[in-house]
Amino acid sequence: MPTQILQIAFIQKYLCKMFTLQTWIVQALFIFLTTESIGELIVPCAHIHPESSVVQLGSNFTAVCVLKEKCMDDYHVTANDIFWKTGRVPVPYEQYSVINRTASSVTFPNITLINALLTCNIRMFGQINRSVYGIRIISGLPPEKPKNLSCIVNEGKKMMCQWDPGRETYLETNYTLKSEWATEKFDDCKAKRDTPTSCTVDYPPVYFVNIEVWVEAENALGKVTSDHINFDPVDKVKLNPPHILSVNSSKELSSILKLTWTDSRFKSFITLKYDIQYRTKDASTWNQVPPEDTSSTRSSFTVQDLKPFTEYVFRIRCMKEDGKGYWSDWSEEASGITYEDRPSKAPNFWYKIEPSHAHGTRSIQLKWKTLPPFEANGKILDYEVTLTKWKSHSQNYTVKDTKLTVNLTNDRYVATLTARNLVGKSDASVLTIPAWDFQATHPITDLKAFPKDNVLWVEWTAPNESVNRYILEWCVLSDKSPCIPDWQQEDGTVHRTYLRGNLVESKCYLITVTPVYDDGPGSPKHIKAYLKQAAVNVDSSHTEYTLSSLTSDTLYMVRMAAYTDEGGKDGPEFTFTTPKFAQGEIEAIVVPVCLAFLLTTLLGVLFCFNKRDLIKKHIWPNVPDPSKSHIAQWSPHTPPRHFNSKDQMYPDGNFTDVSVVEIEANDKKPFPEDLKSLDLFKKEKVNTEGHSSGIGGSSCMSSSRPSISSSDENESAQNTSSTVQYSTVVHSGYRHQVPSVQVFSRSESTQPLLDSEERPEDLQLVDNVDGSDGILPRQRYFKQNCSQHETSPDISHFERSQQVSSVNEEDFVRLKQQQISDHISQPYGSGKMKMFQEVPAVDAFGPGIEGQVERFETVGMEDAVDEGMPKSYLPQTVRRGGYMPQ
Amino acid sequence: EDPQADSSASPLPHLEAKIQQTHSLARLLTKYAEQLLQEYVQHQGDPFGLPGFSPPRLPVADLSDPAPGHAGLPVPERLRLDAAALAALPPLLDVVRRLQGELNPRALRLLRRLEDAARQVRALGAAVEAVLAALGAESRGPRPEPAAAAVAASTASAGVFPAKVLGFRVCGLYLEWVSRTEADLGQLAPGGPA
Repeated sequence: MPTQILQIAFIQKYLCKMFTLQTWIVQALFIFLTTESIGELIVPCAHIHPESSVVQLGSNFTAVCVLKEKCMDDYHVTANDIFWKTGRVPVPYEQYSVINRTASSVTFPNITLINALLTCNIRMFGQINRSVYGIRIISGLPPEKPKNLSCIVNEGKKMMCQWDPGRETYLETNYTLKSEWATEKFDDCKAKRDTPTSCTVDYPPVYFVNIEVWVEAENALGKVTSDHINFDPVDKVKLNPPHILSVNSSKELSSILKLTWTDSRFKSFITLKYDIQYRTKDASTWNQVPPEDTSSTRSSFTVQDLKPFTEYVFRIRCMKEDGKGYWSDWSEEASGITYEDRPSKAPNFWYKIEPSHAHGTRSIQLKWKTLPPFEANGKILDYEVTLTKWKSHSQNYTVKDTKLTVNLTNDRYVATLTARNLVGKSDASVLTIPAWDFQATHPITDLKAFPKDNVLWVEWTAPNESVNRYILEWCVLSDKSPCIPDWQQEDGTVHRTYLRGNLVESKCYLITVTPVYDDGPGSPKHIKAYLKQAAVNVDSSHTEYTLSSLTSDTLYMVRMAAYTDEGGKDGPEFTFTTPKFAQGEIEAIVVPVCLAFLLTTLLGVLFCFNKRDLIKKHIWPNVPDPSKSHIAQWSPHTPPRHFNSKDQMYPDGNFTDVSVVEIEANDKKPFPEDLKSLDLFKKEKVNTEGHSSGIGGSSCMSSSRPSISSSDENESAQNTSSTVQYSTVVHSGYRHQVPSVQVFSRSESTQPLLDSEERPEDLQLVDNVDGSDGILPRQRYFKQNCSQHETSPDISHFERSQQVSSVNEEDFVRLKQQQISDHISQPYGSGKMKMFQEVPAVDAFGPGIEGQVERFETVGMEDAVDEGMPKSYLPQTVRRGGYMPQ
Repeated sequence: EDPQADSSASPLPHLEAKIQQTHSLARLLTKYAEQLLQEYVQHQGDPFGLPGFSPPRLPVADLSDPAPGHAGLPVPERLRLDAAALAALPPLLDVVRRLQGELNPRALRLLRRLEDAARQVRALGAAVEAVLAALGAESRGPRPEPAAAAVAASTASAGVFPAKVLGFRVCGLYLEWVSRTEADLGQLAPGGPA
């Protein structure tokens, strides 16, 4: 049985909102629970009265459970064994009453809001509890009489009525709108659950037939009907809004706009009244056309007393003329512009005398203000200016701008100004321009200027004379910019006004007020004022204060004022100009810049120090020291003075590259092969002149122009001295002279030759050198260059050369005597090119190239030995590269 | 929108207002009757839509054309005749709606207009009788039961065209009688010639 009770509780959750269904289901459940055997007729073990379980809030509710005899016999129970539960909570025994042996009642006084399951239970032998019947108790209230029933008929739609349902009933309550004519009833309109306070009928409204409408509200506790209302649906109509067709202006009258619209089709059956509102385009509030002027059906209305040339926006709504029904929604807004009217006021007019160099004339700039729209009354097309000199013809000007500069004589003039629009001209502004010697008098007095309400007010006392008007001019006082005055005009009756310009705070304005009389301007008065000054309150104990946040290079005026409780008094004003740079500002700029410069310099020096070798090679490469050359050591004729200095230049003994070149002596006959090679070189020289690289270049393909030995002697010397191809070895004769075969030790260096460089006569020692037979060594040399840009001096190489070469002092002396300066740099490019053509396989700049070079060198040397001819000089032992002094 | 109207109508409008209201209703129904006749013709096909089509004005049970001398009668008498004709129209309009329901079941607007017309003409008839009562001129007592059922049965058995002609005739009579009623009430309405 506990399981069964659980089932009840579980089901209870689903039955909460469906009272009728719940009751039925609960009863069926108990019938099922109390069935004694499956397949038997379903007979509940007990019954509860009443079966209806909706209870009014606040009332007493009594339920009686009556046991069946059969159950009493089967379970051996009586009414004394009955106990009650609401949900799972047992009802206190005090609320029980045993009526007889079979019946027990329970009473709930003043029942509150409840929605619970009330079960009748029995306690059987063995304290076993069993539910035998149950009902659901729901409390609530009967519906109140609906109030405020009203209906509305939106034109073209069906009638909708709404009402006030009154208090909450806590029960499902149905509201039904009923309606009938005198002749027939209409279908009921049942309010939907989500909108229980209104209902829209299904039938179309029939106007001019009274209909009676009322509402019935009904729930489990009762039914109530609202008051009946009887009305003609036409009195509840809300018409569709009118549609504004046009808003038209009138050329004859600039203050009117005619509004036309279309109405509801209903207007042929009922009389309408209208509500017309309008406003200017930029306004937010609406003006109302007097209702009495629109109290009858019409399709147009002319709105009056409008401003000329102003855009107005209109809207309109309508309803039945008798006021029964509802105002329609507002129509869509429509706008129109009133027609132009002549300008209603003369423009403000003033002048300025500009400096003029012509004698006897003045340059006058006439200026005026544009009229505001409400005074222009249209689009101003142009201005007409008339200048009249005493007893003279008038000069007329038509100007579109707001200023006019004219050259006038020193006489007195009268200027008039009118503004013109499409309709007409404004009244004329008259301005007297006095003669140049006119003495202005009658100034205003007591001129004051003060800020108030974020504007700068100016106040003065009028002179005794009659003033036509006042001109107020103002400009910013500044050392940096000139005073460019703005101005405004005030009537002669005004003594107090504010400056209508874009004034800024913390600027000193120079304000000038000039009265204008019939005969011209009076004497002006000036005053300085601020729209807002920076003011600080300082405690009375202080006698100094530091102004902060000032602008640099600006003129400031400071005024102290002391205050007591009774008031204050201003002290004298003094001015100062802030410096261009703040204290320490220059130092703050200069010191970091200097530090940055020093740091950059230091870093540069460190960098150069670290990369000194590289820099040295590129900027100041090793220069061969002739004094350390083997030839120098070997040759007793070599003046040692040329080399002393070089000993110290290369203490580390570095030089970039060294190779051995065989050069035949001039006086020796070349072998046929050598001659061929020589010819080839010559040809190559012709072909490649200007393209070959100096031997001392770091690149084997260098095309440095000066590296080519020129046929011109001077040029060669110059080239040598400038970029100096020290490795440029003359291997062919100058201008088809056959050079002698010699062997040179050479350097890759492009460093100037120092002494020898400076003494071309010394260079002549090696001029007469012919390298026609030195092809192979040259090839080796070039390969070496290509593969080893920074080859260390290969002493052994020279030593080998020395071993395989024969020394011929006579040849050497002859060599010295030959004039071969032209050959110093001559055929190297040719040789180089030849080498590339002849030994392409050796061109590989890869590993092992050194070995190859060595092999080639060996071969070359072997060739020389094999020939058995002293074709070259003895190996020139050059430790630091470069030519031997020749 | 703020409601501008009172929430309840006066229980018994006085005579002038009643005449005015009934007159407005007659004017409105005249407009509706014109629309109904136009709609009816549109759904009947040729020759009903052809210009100059004028079927014979067959007699319709319980309802006759307004008599030529109708305008010469006193207003209350005319209103009595109007009320009698208006009372006879609803069952005839119902018959026409049933016939059109069979002939033009998809002409929903026409069917709805016929249904509304029957209801509206009942309302107008009741309003006229109320005016008559207010005027102190009683109507002519209980009217005989309308023979609309017999009319429908005989017409349906006669064929489609007679059914269409019957509808055309009833719609025409409806327009004539509400128009006549409007004119008669106009004699009583404020500003009218009466």
